[in-house]
Amino acid sequence: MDYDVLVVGAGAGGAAAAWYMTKLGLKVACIERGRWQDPNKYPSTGLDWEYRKSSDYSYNPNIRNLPEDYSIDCSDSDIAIANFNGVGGSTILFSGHFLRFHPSNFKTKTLDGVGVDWPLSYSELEPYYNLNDQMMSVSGLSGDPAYPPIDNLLPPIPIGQYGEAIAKGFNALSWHWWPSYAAIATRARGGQNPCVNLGPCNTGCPQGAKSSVDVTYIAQAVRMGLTVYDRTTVTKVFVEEGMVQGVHAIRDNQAITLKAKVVLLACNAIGTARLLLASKQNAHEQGLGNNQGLVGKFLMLHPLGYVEGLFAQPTDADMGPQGCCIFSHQFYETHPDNPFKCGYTLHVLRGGGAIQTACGGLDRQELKWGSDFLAGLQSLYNRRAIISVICEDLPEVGNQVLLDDTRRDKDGLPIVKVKYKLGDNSKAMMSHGISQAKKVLKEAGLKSIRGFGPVPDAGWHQLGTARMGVNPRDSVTSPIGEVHDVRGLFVVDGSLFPTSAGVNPAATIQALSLYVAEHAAKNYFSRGLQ
Amino acid sequence: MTFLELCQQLLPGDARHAIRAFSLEQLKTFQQRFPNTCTQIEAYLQQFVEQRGDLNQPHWAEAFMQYLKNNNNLAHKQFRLELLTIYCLDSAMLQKLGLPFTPLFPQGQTLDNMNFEALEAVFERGPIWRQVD
Repeated sequence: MDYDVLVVGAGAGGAAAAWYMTKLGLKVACIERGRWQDPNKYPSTGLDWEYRKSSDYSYNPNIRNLPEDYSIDCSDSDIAIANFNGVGGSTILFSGHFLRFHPSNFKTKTLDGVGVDWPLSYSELEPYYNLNDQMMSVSGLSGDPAYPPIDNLLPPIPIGQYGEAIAKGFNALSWHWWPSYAAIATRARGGQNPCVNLGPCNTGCPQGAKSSVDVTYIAQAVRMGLTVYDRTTVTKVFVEEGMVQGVHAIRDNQAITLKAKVVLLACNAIGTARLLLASKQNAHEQGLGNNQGLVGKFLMLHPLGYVEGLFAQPTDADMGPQGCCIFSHQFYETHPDNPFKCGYTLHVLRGGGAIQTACGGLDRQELKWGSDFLAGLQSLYNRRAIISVICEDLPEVGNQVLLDDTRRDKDGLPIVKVKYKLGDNSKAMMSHGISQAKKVLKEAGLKSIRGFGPVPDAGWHQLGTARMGVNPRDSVTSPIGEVHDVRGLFVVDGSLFPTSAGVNPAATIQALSLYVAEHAAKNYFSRGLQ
Repeated sequence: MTFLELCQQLLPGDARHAIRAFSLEQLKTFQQRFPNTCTQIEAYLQQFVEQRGDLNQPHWAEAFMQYLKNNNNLAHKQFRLELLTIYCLDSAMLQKLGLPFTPLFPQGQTLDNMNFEALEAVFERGPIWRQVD
């Protein structure tokens, strides 16, 4: 079967690119190893949602271990990888927290002497951010002094008594805070229902308010003619005379071949690197795009710190979108007083349910089994505040994705291994962030404040393993995301990122995907959207 | 000591709030849903009994949980999660915590609207992002 464009991966980046190409009238197929999700079966449709958050809807693929998952060896990594394989990709489980990069994030080398500069700027990416905000029903509040103007947002997610209480802490310190930008529809829009504050966005949204890409980009693209091959695993990208030809894949235990003029890879920084490395063939003995040995290198993961405290009285702390309340960029930009370069987001999270509260209480010995269990749980439930510290991770060549050719998975692909160590800059940043977050909670009147990091199983943001750049000697793709030594092969996920910034990457992944798709369409099909 | 006795020691209920202890009925649900865990915990319980001998101690169940945590923290966490899952499916239990005893969806929850005045000071301090273009 021949297509104009194949998109490998139906997650954040793949869906945006697939939509773009389909909208141009091209013949497009999106290939996804996972399956279509049924919102009627999401955990929050049942009482045992917390159990399912740790089992079939766990963000750890090694725990979930569904047929569409592949094991990732994280034994040599300070942080375990988190993902989800399905139509929608990790947006099925993401919290929807949707911040942009700052303009300075694109020029860390020029401004701060660390990392590398991106081959494009915030202002060049801004139109794609704006388009993506509309497609993803982004809610928030204009006027944020932490950003250039961001307009046309849906009303912000309510922050509740909990958010207002924490905001008092920020105000007492005269620090920046703002309602979260969220890829969550707060009003009915384009087939999406408005948010009803279920809480656990990160087990899938049966309301259809959270903008996982299956209900946004993919839904629209399918109506325009996109073909989706779900439960289909791409095993190799094949090339002839330096030009991409298509992919080999497995579907229902049958080998299939799909051909196209352009192939876009969107398997996240682990999966894309894995596929490029596994696609060894004539003239590409080290894998595709790997003449300089850079595929898989410079993995960045956003080390995460957590600070927690207890309110004296119950609030609505455990109600509402768990990952979207308020955030602060008070310490986001590089500052000479700080013992690190770049900066971090202080991200106020909401609590979980009764079981998560109980388990946390038992771990901290705030709760005991026995006759006082219920009374103890009542003293904790709806009273816990959490601030996470999302640290910018600098690119380091030793942090990488590797293939272990001595072990194969069920699809015959080499097992993927992650090697990752926290850098000194990240450690200093995290220590600072935890200390500052404690001040906020203290000013907000909380007690029993404690902080720790890095959170070991928080590798949701996988970036940098096929980075873009001007110079083919220190990048894997060109400034428009095309793999240097393979014409027609592009990357449209977080693998492209030369630096990580200190924010959730989904908004930038998608804006960049639209940017790359536009250039690919212009160069190979002489088409583009107005 | 049996698996049921362990669960009843850990979760004996609360007479003040008329919450019953982990019940035989809940045990059957547990065994149907998590049979591997039952087998695994029973094996560790037997080891614990053999090593500790006399279990006429008031907090032997908590001591067992610590023993389990020290020997196999993964099994400890899994057992804890599953035990609490079965226990919390009791709607009366959830109601005492002020939780709805129906699934979260489709009812949802209501949060207060925001007081935007709290943002004025933030806004008035002006931009904090670096201009670079």
